[in-house]
Amino acid sequence: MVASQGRPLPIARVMPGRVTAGQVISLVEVTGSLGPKVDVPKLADELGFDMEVLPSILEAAEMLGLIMNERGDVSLTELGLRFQKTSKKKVMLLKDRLAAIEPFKTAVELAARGKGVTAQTIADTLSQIGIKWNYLPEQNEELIRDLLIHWTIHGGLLKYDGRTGRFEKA
Amino acid sequence: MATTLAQLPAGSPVVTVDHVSLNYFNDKEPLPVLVDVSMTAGKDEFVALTGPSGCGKSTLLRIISGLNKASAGTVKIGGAEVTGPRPEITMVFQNFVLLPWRTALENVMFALSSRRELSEAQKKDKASKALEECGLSGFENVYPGELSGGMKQRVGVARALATEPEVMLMDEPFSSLDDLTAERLRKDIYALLINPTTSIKTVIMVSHNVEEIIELADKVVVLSSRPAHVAGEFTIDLPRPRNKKSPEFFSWVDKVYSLLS
Amino acid sequence: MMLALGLSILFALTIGIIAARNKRAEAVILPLLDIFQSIPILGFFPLVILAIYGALPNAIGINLAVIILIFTSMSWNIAFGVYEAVKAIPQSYVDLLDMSNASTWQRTKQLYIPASMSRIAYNTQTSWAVGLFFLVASEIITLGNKSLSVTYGIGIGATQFFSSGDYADYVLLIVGLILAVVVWRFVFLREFALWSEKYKMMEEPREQHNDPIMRFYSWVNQRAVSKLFLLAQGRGVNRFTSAISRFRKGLKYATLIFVAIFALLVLETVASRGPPGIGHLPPTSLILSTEASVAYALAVSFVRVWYVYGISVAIGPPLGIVISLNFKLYDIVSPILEVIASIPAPILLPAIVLIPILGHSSEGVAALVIMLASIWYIIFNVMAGVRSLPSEIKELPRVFGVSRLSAWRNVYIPGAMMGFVTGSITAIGGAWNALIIAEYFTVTNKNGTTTLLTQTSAGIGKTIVLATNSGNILTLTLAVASMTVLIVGFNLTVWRRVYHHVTKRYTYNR
Repeated sequence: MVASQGRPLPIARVMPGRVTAGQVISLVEVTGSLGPKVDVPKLADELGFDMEVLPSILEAAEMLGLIMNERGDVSLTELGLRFQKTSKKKVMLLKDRLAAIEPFKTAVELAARGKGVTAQTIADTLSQIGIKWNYLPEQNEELIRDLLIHWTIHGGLLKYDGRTGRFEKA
Repeated sequence: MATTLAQLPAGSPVVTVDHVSLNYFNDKEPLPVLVDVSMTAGKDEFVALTGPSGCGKSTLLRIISGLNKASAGTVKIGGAEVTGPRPEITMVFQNFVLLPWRTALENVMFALSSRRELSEAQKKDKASKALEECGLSGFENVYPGELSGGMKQRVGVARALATEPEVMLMDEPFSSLDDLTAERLRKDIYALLINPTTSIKTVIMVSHNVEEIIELADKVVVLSSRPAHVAGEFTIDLPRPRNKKSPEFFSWVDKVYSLLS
Repeated sequence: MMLALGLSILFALTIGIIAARNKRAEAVILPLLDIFQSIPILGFFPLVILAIYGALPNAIGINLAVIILIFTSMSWNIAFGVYEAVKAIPQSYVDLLDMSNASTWQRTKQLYIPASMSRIAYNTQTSWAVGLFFLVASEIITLGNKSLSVTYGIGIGATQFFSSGDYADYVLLIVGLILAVVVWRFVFLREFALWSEKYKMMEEPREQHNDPIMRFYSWVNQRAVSKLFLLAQGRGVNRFTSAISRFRKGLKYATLIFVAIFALLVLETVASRGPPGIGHLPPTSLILSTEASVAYALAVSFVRVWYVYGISVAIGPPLGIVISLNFKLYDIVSPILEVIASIPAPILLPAIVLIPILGHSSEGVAALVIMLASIWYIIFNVMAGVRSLPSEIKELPRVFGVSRLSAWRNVYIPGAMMGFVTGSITAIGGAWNALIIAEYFTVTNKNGTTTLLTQTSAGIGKTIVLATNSGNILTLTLAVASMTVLIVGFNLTVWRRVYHHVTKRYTYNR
């Protein structure tokens, strides 16, 4: 619809799959403790991540507004500093940020409509606009469920009931 | 029971392992596993139990829990002999051992199902509180299969804590988690176990990760390879929080390693 | 029987390898296997007999029909094993052969057959038991129509001894059969299975060797029927995911092929019997009235199968759980159960009729025969399920000192659930097969006369046997077709959903 009006499709911000809150918390803590600016190899070494996983953790942290990454020099943002200092329920600080990122954005929108929404519906809706994490539908759905359970409950965005498989407004 | 233990002065033994031996029988030939093992875990003490792999440290923990029987010797808790599993002893497992067909909340409530004096609502209340303490509020109705490894172990700890135990046994609780998750969980769990409000009087943890032991334990008991006897016992008097990069920390790590190899 | 087994293995290898290596073939073969697996093959037997007898009206024809039946009963399970084994060959092995330009035959000889060996061995153990049941049943069915009987066999021997009052010989025969089964099962098949171990590709987890029963029965289903349910549902087994969409598409073609085979069989039968002949369809009113009576019989049998299943559910799972929770009890009881389970139910039927209370109730006899042909699947699968639970899980009730009620409700029953459902699917299949002997059973005396031992008032099994004996092709065709539609439909809807739910919730992985 947007495209038909002659404007480019907005590029949706998409959470990298398999990045956990724990990884992001560790990244922020280490960055904070090592000083205002840390380079990526140093971070990889300190965190014990190899260069296969670190880029997506950096991407997630940057997307969440916790760090800035200027050509390999990583530093904490204002929010990052606050995040580092908070001791309990850190992920709650990211509530609004998360709500702007897929698949959380769509999940929250769909859940707001009523009786809750399953990971399958969210996966279907997202693949219609070309957002998927895995080519195979079953694995894509699984990954989305994992991401949602992991981030939205901690973030206070959604509630989840495993018995119905539905996510609801928190 | 609870009151007698609570009145004990700090440091006095809560768990006493007294000359415990264990033989397996193979074609009538006794195969010694544990030989004359004695140790204590004192009030407000975090004790680590280590040794070469296969030496029988987990078996010793099971004997302390009452799940296995010793061939000789006794285990006492605050003076009473352990002859079988007891409500004041609880266990956290390496592989979490959660019921996959029950939600996180139901898993914790399962541990309370023997508590006849509690109503269903009270059990539910206790279970939710335990989950919340372990950082899992909001995850009550999630199934274990939908949780990450670290979160599963948090459910395992919540289940143990909900029973308000006095003796907490942990069998390699962090070894099936990745380093980072284990690191965070260690900090959180230590704070949960050792604090003024807890019911826990003593903790015994089996581990083969020496750094983990030096980070957490007040005392470490090192077993020899099979048949296991006590090869050494140290009181780790490093101040807390412990700095894993300090030279003192490393010298403790070396000390324990030298006994292990 | 050996001939049939040999044929089955050969057939299974061909079909399995083709399905695993050719995507188009896979799309048709898999759903076809699924259908064949779930239909009561015994119901088709009369049609096959009449068709073949029409072409070869002598003893060879009859024996051929029996061999075909046994072959059919054994093949599917083995074919699944081959398919999965070949499918699981690591790509690098296939690449290696690609690079060396190996011919199809060389590939088959060097890679596919060795890779399938261990699965063939395991699945053969299962197929053998199934085959034995069919062997006895088929011999006995043919007795109903004197012109169509096999000259000699265990089934015939047993019923003849019985009808002529040679009880001693009857008992001797059963004892002999048990011995043969024990020797075959525990010596030959086990050795075969152990020998085939060396053909295992990778570090597959070895199953416990001291436990042939468990291994045996868990293979019955998990490797065959249920895996396919899983497959069709598209859950869990990642390496098969790409096959699922093809499976769905293929189901259409497979159904077509299946219907074609069925139609061919009917035509062949009709042709061999002369009038009404090809092209002369009976009047619609006759078809409708026949279908009405068939539908009634089917309804009666449906209720019968399910109430017997209900009784089995009340007995099987608790028994299985109690036995497998107690090591000593398990060691003693499970081999005994294994031997009892291996006696084909049809051979016992004459003795069942003698049981005082049951003897006068044809319904009771039928129920007992159906149960004997099906309850084992539930018991052994429940046992396998409980035994395969990690010991730590089984210990949880002790660790937390929970009551026995809570332990059963939270640990043992859910832990047995997976095995219970896989067992139930097979048990229901076994029950449908058993109907054909349970609802109507005659013995031939030595002097050639036949005696009716038991018959229920109505039922699809009885309908099929009577139609066979009187050569009523229309009734026979409608009965077999209706039964097949009912069973396949039920499997595709109800069981598949139940199975999906249970695999999602009740499997143990950390």
